[in-house]
Amino acid sequence: MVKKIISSLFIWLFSFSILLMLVLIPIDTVFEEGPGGMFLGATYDYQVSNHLANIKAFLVYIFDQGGLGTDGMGNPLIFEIVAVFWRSMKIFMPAILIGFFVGIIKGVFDYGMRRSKGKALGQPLTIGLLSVPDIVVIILIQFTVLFLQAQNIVDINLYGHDRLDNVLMNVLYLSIYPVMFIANITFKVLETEQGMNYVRTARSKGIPQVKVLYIHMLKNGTPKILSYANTMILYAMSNLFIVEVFTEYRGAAFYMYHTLGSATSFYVGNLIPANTISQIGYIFLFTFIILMANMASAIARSAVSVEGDER
Amino acid sequence: MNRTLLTGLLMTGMLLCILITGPYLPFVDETLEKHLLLRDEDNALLVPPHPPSADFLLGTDRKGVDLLSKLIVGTRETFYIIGVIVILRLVLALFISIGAFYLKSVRLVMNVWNSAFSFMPTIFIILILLAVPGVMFSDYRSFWVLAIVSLVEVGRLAIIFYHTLHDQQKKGYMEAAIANGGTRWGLFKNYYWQSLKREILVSSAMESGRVMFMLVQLGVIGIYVNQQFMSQLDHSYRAVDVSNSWPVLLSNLRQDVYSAQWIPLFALFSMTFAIISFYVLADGFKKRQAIKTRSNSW
Repeated sequence: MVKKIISSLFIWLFSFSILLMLVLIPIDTVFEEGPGGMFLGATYDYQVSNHLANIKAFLVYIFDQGGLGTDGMGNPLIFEIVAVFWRSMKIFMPAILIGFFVGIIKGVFDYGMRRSKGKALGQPLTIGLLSVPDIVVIILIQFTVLFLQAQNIVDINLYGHDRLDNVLMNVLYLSIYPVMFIANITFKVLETEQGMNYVRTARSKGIPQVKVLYIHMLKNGTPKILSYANTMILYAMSNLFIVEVFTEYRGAAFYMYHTLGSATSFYVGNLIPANTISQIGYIFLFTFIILMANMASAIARSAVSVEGDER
Repeated sequence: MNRTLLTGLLMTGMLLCILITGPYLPFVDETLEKHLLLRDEDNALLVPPHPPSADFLLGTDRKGVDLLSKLIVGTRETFYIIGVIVILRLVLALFISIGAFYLKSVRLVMNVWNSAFSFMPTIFIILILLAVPGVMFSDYRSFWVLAIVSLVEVGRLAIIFYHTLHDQQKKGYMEAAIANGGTRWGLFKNYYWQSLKREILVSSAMESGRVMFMLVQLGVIGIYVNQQFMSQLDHSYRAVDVSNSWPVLLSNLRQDVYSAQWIPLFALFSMTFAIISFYVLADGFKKRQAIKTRSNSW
């Protein structure tokens, strides 16, 4: 377990440095100008020496400032980054927690429903919602809200970040995928558990079905469910990007997207550069969350293997 | 044939039919004419987007192009994009997984690559890579976008293939094949490749669905495969999408939710339909294999 944690620490450092290198890629571009500053074309002029110089300048900057430095107004950048990141976590963390709790409940429900008449509401619905892109569900929710608003039934603010509505709606959007993901895993775990000897023994001893389900099956399956935490968090983070950019929720993913060197607009002779320092701050924090998730998964996995389940 | 596979084949078959014959159908306007201004019965001017009506069954987009025609004509381009990404990913993953199966060094690279990518959400890395000017201004930008989208998930697929090979190696009859003096090439051709072939069939359907899923996500945040820089009023240049592929229809998503609901509705419906067809197809292939291998082992 300790070995796993150390190795994920190393891999984290490795991927963080790769991302660092990518963000610090030089943007020297030679523009070809036509009459009146018309854009004719541009060629990218990559020099390894410039790239190295960028990396060196960044490291020197970090050491000089003893941190990420200050913004234009003289305020420490780190405060701003952490504040914005916190705003993202306000929707991300609840979504993940809802994902786990509601997901497990939905999984148990799906398992219970698997042979009953209403089974379409069980696993097939979970799989269906898992295959549909989140944005489809988000758009349908928004249409519903707009329809209800037109009837003067509800009043929900759909875009922005500063109201409780925004936070709640975004938590809802973000939690759809995790809930269905965990529900699906829970269902599969329960299906494998049902064939286990100890479950059969418990049943044959006449222990009530519900008790067998919770004590013998779910409790043993939980570490296995937890071991998928990192996959789920990685997907949810990609979704965070989509949700924040789409709903203009000004969190870390939103700013990261907007401070990225623009790939879609530029001035002739002048690229819109990235705000590299805050970029790196955000990347650090995001990958750190993934690191935490990976460690949690690693611990959960080792708990699984301790119980002697050969996987 | 199992029912899932049949449904999957029917759904993807339908999409293929549209892809091949769609543009020649009588109600499809192949030229994608822009109906900028229309007049209603009272001679009042109407500006696009026009809502669904008898003339435009699914309405028009913001340029006044008939949405149904656009969706049908765009099928080709959408599937072309998916096809290139999937084929590229499959070929690379095959090379990596076979390499990893036989060579320790490749296995190490594959594992490190995969663990490194497990720290980077796919959207992150695609965004960062696309903003590199070398990609942005390349004459082959479209190709680079396809390559990047394809590459970021190649490790995951390589691992799947690697596990297939590994599981095959564990099969009891493999020992018999080796004991009978099978050469390395012979074993690969007669055993490993056979199991890989089955996995490729499932994966190609699965990956097509995943790629479409990813294209939807990228479309929402304004990243398209084909784009052209157009001059703007403030002397800046801005990328304008120049293709008919489906994700482009999401470019005005936020306004459309309020004013032209039919555009995202039908665009997302087409894409979701494609995703589900691919997933059902993959599931069908999986079931067919399960039935087949079960009957083989008896």
